[in-house]
Amino acid sequence: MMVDLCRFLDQNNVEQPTRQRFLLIVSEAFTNALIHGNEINPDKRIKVHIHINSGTLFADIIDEGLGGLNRIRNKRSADPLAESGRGIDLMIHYCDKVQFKETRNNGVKVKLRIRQEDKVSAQIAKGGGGYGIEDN
Amino acid sequence: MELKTTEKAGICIMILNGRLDLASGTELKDEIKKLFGENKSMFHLNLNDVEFINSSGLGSLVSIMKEVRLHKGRLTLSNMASYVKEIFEITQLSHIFEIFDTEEDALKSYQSAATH
Repeated sequence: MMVDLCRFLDQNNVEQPTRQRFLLIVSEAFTNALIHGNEINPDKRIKVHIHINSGTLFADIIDEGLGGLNRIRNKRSADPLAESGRGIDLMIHYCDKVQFKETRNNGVKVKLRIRQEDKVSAQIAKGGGGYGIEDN
Repeated sequence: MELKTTEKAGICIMILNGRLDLASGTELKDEIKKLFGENKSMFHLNLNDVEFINSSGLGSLVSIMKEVRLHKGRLTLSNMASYVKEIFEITQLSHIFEIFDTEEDALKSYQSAATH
C-alpha cells in the first residue's frame, strides 16, 4: 500500500511536509482498520481510496469489522506508557478534517482530509480542523 | 528496515535505516530481546536514517523502553529528523525518552553517568 501511496504522491507532485503527513495519517487509519477493525482476519478486506482536488488530499479507509465506531467513540487518550492508542490522535492533529462513519456492514469508514502546505510557508499544523463520528 | 548494531564501551549502538512501523518495530524488539540474552542493557538508537515512523513504531519504542527499565538499563535516542521529532512532541513521548541531538552527545552522557 505504501508503495502505491508514494507513487500517487510523486505523480501529483506532493511535497514535504504534506507528503510525510499524508503517508502517516493513511498508515494510521490502515493499521487501525487492520488491527482493531478487521482484527487481523485475512478474510476481511480494507479498501483505501485516495484522491487530490484543488490542493487538498483525501483518503477513505474502510474496514469490514464490527462495532468499530463504538470503540472509537469510547477511546481515551493514550497513557504515556501505553504501547498503542496514539493513531487517532495523530490523525486528528495532522488532518484538516477527520470523520468516522459506520458502514452498512457495521464496519468503519475513516475519511481524512489534509490540505497541501505551500513549500515556502510550511508550518507545523496546529491541531486538526475537527473530527466527527457519524452513525448511519 | 535495516538494523546495524555495534558496541562501544558496553553500549549497544543501533543504527536504524528505513521505516519504523508495526513490522519493523517487532524486528527491533526481537533484536533487543536477543541482546538482553547476551546481558546487554544499554542501548542507543540512532534514528538519522529513519524515513518514516508511525504510532506502531512509537509503540515498539515504548515497549523496548519498558523492557530496558525492567533490566535496569538505559535507552537513548538521537539524530531525529524534524518530522520524527515532531511526532514525539505531539504524542508527548519527548518527555518519556532521553533524546539527544547527536549520537556523540548521547554517548557522552553515558560516560558522565558512569563517573557519578
